[in-house]
This record gives sequence, structure tokens and C-alpha cells, in this order.
Amino acid sequence: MRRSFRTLAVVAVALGLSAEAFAHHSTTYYSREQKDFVKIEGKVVKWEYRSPHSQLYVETTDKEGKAVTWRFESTPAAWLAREGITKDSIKFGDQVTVEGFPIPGQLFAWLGKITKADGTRLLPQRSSATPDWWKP
Amino acid sequence: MRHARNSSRRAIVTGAVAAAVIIAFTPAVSAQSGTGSSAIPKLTGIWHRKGPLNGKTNAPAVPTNRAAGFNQAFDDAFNPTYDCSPTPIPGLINDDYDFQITQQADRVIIRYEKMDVVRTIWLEGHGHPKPDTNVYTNQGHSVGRYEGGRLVVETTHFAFDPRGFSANRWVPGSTLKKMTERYWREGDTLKLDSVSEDPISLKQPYSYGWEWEVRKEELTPYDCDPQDSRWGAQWHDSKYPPDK
Repeated sequence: MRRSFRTLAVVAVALGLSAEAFAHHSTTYYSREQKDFVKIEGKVVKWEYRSPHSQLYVETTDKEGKAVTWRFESTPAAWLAREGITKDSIKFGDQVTVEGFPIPGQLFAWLGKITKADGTRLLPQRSSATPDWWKP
Repeated sequence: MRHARNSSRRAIVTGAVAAAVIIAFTPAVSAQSGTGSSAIPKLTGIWHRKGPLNGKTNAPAVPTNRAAGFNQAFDDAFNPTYDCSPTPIPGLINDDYDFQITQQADRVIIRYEKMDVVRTIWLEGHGHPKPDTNVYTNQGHSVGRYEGGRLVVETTHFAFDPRGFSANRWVPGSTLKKMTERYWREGDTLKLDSVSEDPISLKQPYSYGWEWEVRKEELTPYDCDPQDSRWGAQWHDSKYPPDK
């Protein structure tokens, strides 16, 4: 019994209900490891500028040359707007290079950076889903 | 899912229309800056976060063992946020979203960018009815008064919620939770000092404060998409073994 109370006390301290900016929910399922980092070139097939998370869909080819579509998750529209990223910043058919942090084994990733064909860089607000080693 | 989304949008539009009607037909308060006990601070406006109050990092809340145990047992899939359920204050305010304050003669309305939440603070002395004893809601029942050049808001009657004091930590807010907010102006800066209390979940009162600056742009509608909202839940492993 004494041990369980001690455990709870440790948990209580570790909880650290800090008052920082929160994501809509935990994004721990995205890998922050450098070995999993993805950088792809492709064509935008859908851009969902919305809340709680905006979604960018990019069609590209995998290592075998097969067409695949990546889904990149990002912050809500309100936060993207602060960075000057709007619903019209990305259009269907845009050629883009996208960097992100995937769920291992899936075609889903947290959106890091978008570079359009004309060199325009779209960099969403950094969140807990982007690792410190990444220098965009 | 489309039906749910349309219903959600209808509710938001209905709420926005209702808020517009209330604002249009309620006489605006004659707000002014001042420090006297009866002075009404000019809080009306759209506000963007600058940082913690007076630059001091806000200390964390300290949960009771009972609340810490709840956090330990809570499984992420139960998170109401996955279904666009608004986070109750104080977590709502702690999250980094902007908001709009509208001061009326008998009430103050706060509209948050986060999840399109609209709170009404009923000012004392205007004959507003007290909350029903057995009614508990997501954002509770708020009454306010102007005191010493500040708007003081006291909120009780919260529904139980696992996000009692934070948007994504599972220290629950009980129906005994109470929050006191104090808002005031210093030049172009809006300031807040707050205290949350809960005899079941907190070992001691939880205090934090923020500062905001004027924002010129309109708030961005949140319009929470329920399908998108729950999508992330599938990637979190349960703490518990699968059912057979």
C-alpha cells in the first residue's frame, strides 16, 4: 500500500500540468527519429484547411514506382493562419516537396515543411510532433 | 458522419446567430479605463496571447493522489476531445487560441477561437436567475462583477470532465470545481490572474495568469470536423488488453 502511494506521488509530480500550448490531442504516434524522416516530391491532390487538424494529401511514387498518396497532418486552421498559411496557399495540382515525420509503416505523417515549385516555403507553427534535431 | 458534421455546423450557425441577436439588442456598456472600485475596464476586443502574466512561467497544478490515480488509469480513446467536445476552463484558456470579449450592460460574452466556445458571464445586480441546483455543464455557470477596475468572474456547476485543468492531461474536474478569473487592462495589454479549486482533484489551488494584446483580424472559425477529430485515436495503443 505504501508503495502504491509513493508511485502515485511520483505520477502526480510527473504530470506537471504545464500551461503551454497544447495540441488537440497527443501526437506521440508520429516518429521523431531521424531514420524515419520523410522528404517526398509530388502533386497536391487534396488540401483540407480545417480544425482540429489540417490535412495535405500528396501523390507521389514509392521505391517500386507505384503511385501512392501521403497524408500529412498539421495544426488547425487558426494556427496556420498565424503563419500566413491560408486555404488558398496550396492548390490542387501544385508540385511540392514535403518533409514530415511519419507513423512507421504508414503513409501518414506529421507535416513539417512544404516547398512549392516556385521556391515558396510554407512552415507551419512548430509543435510537439516536430523533433529538436530537425532544422527547417 | 456527414449528418453529424452538418448538425455541428447548424449548431454553430445557430449559436452565432443567437449571439449576434443578443449583442444587437442588448445595450452596450459604457466601458472606460480606470482604477476606482466601480470603474469598468474596457475589455471589449479580440485578444491574442503575448505570454504568461508578468513574464513568469505558470506553475503546474498539483493533483491529489486520487486524481493522479485517475490519470494513470485513463485510456486515451475516452478523450472527449476526439469527438469535438469542448475543453472546459481553465484548460480552454490555457490553450493557445485567441478570443473575443464583448461587454454588455448586464453580461459579458467571451467567444473563443478554440472549438467555437461561447461563454456568458452574468453580471451581478441585474436579476439574473441563479443556476439550477442540479444542472452541471461543460463550461459551468459564470457570474461576474466589476471590482477595483477589474472584471471578477466566478464559475461553478461544472460537469465532471477528465480534462478538468488541462486540455490533454487527465486530472479530472469534479462537480465541486470552482474557478475565479480576474481580468484587467494595462495600456493595450489585457491581463488575467486566475485560481482554480477542486477539493477532490487538487491538493492546493491552481493559479495561472496570461497577457494578451489586441488582434486586428477576425477570429478563425474552428468548425470542428468530428471525423478528422477522432482519426488520431486509432493510433494510440490501449493501456488495457483487448476484449475477447
